[in-house]
Amino acid sequence: MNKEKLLAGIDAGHINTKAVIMRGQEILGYCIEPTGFDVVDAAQTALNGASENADISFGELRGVIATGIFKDMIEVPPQNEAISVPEYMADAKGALFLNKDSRTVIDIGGNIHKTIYYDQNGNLLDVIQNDKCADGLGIFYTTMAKALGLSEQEMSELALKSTKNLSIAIQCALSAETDAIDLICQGRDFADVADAIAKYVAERVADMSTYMTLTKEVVVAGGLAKSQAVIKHLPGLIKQDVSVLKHPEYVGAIGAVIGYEGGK
Amino acid sequence: MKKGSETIIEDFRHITDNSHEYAKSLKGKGQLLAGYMCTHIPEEILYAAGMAPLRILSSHESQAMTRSYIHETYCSFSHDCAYQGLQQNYDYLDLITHGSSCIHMAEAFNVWVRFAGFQEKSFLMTFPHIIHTKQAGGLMKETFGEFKQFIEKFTKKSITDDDIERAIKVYNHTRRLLIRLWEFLRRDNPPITGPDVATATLASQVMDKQECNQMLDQLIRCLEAEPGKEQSGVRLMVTGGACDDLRIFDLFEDLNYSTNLIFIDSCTAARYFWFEVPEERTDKLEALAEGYISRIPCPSKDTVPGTGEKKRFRFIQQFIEEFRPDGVVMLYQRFCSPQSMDIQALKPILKNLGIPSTELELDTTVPKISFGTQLEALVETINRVAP
Repeated sequence: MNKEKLLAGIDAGHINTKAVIMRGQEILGYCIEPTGFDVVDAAQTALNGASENADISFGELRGVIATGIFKDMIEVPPQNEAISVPEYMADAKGALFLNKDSRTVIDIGGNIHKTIYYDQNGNLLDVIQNDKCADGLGIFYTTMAKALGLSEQEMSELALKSTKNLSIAIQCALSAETDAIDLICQGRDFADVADAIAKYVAERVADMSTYMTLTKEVVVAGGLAKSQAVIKHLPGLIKQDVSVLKHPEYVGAIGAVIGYEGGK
Repeated sequence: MKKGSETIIEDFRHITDNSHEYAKSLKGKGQLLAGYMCTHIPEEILYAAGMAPLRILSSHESQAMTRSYIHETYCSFSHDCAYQGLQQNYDYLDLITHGSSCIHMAEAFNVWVRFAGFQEKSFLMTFPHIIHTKQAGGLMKETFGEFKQFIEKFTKKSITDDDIERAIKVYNHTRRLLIRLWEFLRRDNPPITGPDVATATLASQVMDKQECNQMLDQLIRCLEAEPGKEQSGVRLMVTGGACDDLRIFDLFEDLNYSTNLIFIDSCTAARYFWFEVPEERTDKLEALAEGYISRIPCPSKDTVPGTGEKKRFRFIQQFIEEFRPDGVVMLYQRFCSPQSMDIQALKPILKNLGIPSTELELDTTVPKISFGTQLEALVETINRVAP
């Protein structure tokens, strides 16, 4: 039997709370829950879900390590506390764990997106986060999918069928949304509108990323990494190949465990 | 069968839609090409040196690349113009010039100089910040002189007074022709539409002036011989900032109500040509300075010291008297502070004149439906449409 400790990682983000259960280097289970208004409840639900997915009982856990914007609000029984790891470090450690050749991770989350450059040990070398006008990129993407009557996955699939290049205003998500709705009202093909939305997201991410030198390999994490339509536009815009990490939305949670373990 | 005027208008439209192709054809004929941003550059000096001055226009393509070079809250026109440089869409230009206008366009120019390979072939000309002062004329003459010297060195050719006089006459001819074209729209039954006049005006900024003058001359002769169309729509005038997206002006005449675009006060329309440079003056640079000071000023230059008066408003009121708009559309680049400040001062003037107005904020794209809805609401207030 593997004697390594069972640990849980929680990434409590603006929109979703992600939990993973790990034993050493092995990911046993994971679960994602909307953060909503009750961060503690969302964390507990995600932990329960991940434990169930890993087929372990909650009591077997030897520690919970939290990261993400709400990391300091996480309360886990019996001590009602969790060890916390900074989110940039968690992202770097998680990305390196999932791809040992990676040196840059672009994390496209619900509310913020960021690019992190790290060394072979996952130590931070440079970081950048979106400007205020680009806040809420993931929320924008979800809102636009809803406006089109689609799920995020469906919108991505539809965008890949686009045949015409449409533009939407780049200034902020709000004006982008206005423009996208205007295009819909003009009777434009939904696939082309969906592609314009995906391209907008990729452009904003690329714009931020060009502030730093992107060192190979470049990997992508975060919920929006699952959108093939967004990822399709990224290499051309940042002039680099990119690959999407396995479990992209769990990179922070995985990195929290790895970061904690590595720090011991 | 198409009328003669329609063919010429189509040619102008083709040039604005394919300005790079047109410029490259000039280059193919051995013409030196000088790009300029904003209209503060005295094109006559470039023309006198045998160069073809061409205005840098935007591509209306949404992009985020320039956010790494100039500030997010600079206008989309400056971002788009900077993007043209970074994309090397104008790499055929021999020179890029700029007369210091607003900080947004200055940064777009800097992007070209620093990052687009134009460092060794660029000139930034000082233009006085406040033009309604005694000192402004002297400063302009001096900077025009420096500009002339630079161009002489660049082209390895001296520019004589005769060269400048010839250029002044060619440019004044363009201005007179454009004014005549716009004056058709004062009529109740003009033979041409506002969007078509706007097209010819924009084309004139990216064309060889001799060829442009020939086309304008021919167009005016055709229009004078053609019967006018009875206008029944609401007459709309535009006042505002740079707008090189002709789709917006097309939209004005493509609403659910009958409307006619009858005037555009902007630096891509009337402000470009609604002035003349005095001819046959002994001091050519002084003549140029006098001409450029007499222009309808850009809001970024338009403050009368001591009174805060805006000289541009006198022109706007003059145009309102002459062109008789039923409504005014204030069309300006989002984040253009001088323009939006002007609007606050202009609103009470329009209110006193009893002219309804609306505002349209420009971005890279044209949200046809929302702009259309706003314009239709303006028409509804003018026509007192009951629900």
